[in-house]
Amino acid sequence: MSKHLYKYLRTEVFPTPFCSGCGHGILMGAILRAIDELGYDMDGMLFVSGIGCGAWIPSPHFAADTLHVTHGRPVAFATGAKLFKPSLKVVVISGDGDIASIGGNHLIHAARRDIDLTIICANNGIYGMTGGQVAASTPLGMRTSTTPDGNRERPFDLCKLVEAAGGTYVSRYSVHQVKPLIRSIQRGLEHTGLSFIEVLSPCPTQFGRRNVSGTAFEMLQTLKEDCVSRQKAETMGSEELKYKIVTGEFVTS
Amino acid sequence: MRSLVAHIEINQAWCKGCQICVEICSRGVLGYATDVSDKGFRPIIVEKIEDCTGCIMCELMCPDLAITVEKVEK
Ligand SMILES: Cc1ncc(C[n+]2csc(CCOP(=O)(O)OP(=O)(O)O)c2C)c(N)n1
Ligand code: SF4
Ligand code: SF4
Ligand SMILES: [Mg+2]
Repeated sequence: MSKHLYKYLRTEVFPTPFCSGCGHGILMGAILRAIDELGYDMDGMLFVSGIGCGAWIPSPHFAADTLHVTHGRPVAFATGAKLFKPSLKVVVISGDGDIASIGGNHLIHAARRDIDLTIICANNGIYGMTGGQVAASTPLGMRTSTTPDGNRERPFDLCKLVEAAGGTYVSRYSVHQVKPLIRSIQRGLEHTGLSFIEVLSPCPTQFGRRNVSGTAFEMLQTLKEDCVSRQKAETMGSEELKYKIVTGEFVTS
Repeated sequence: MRSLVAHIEINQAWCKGCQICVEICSRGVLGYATDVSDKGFRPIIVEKIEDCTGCIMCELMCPDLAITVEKVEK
């Protein structure tokens, strides 16, 4: 019931600034549904984001305390806020460029320290807001405005990165897997320690039209074909898995 | 005609006509308005509410929080 979520929103700023069909909007709904089902009071929460389209998910939309900070630094600001007031539920919601390219160093150190933050990374594999430049998370071969012949650099596997650095809840879902995604966000919010949820979120405008398709639904269909569950992946060979994206929970300690 | 399972409300001011809900609905319940909104989008309209199962997939996948599916109390 979307309308039942309107109490968590600054409805006066809607509609969102996102392009038609942007996955970040689906993720916004999933986060609010997770919070609603957990019965959390938004007054006890702080949402931190940096710069980029993904950073607009919480701010200015959520009727809660939001910190909209400099590019790449939301995890650093969130760490400070959590240390200052440990009773706050601190949630970082931002893009792949923000959290994992320019902000990658903060991410690995937050994981190393296992700080009690929930980090939700809206991964569209590109710098959407600034015109579709290549990111540290752009898949191999994909065309971006700065790699017109296809990306030749291997992307980070963000979940493996956070797992290796010490994160204690790590998962990856696509927005088309909306029900498991909501459940995973709930687990991440309930977890004590560093939770990292990577969310594959299509950007039809900057990524789709250069690669898959400019329509949101076709991008979602492609994600559906490309994603395999962790359980299924365990039965597949490395050649078969080469162009697949493995989804599910990777660390639940 | 069987009785309605759900009502659907569309927030036309927030809808950007992205098509996700129209395509995702296996029952063909939703369609497009003929008029363009003042923001330049063709918002979604409910065309065949009698075929709706109340599965709420359109609502969960709407990027603009513009769809509210409400089950009819039996
Ligand atoms: C210090 C600094 N460097 C670069 C920029 C330009 N910039 C703004 S948003 C952005 C990338 C955002 O990408 P991402 O976090 O993936 O968000 P998306 O728009 O893809 O959702 C960049 C490089 C900036 N604002 N500040
Ligand atoms: S540019 Fe891409 S990420 Fe940004 S709002 Fe548009 S579709 Fe979404
Ligand atoms: S609730 Fe399900 S059946 Fe009804 S319109 Fe939405 S997607 Fe179609
Ligand atoms: Mg991005």
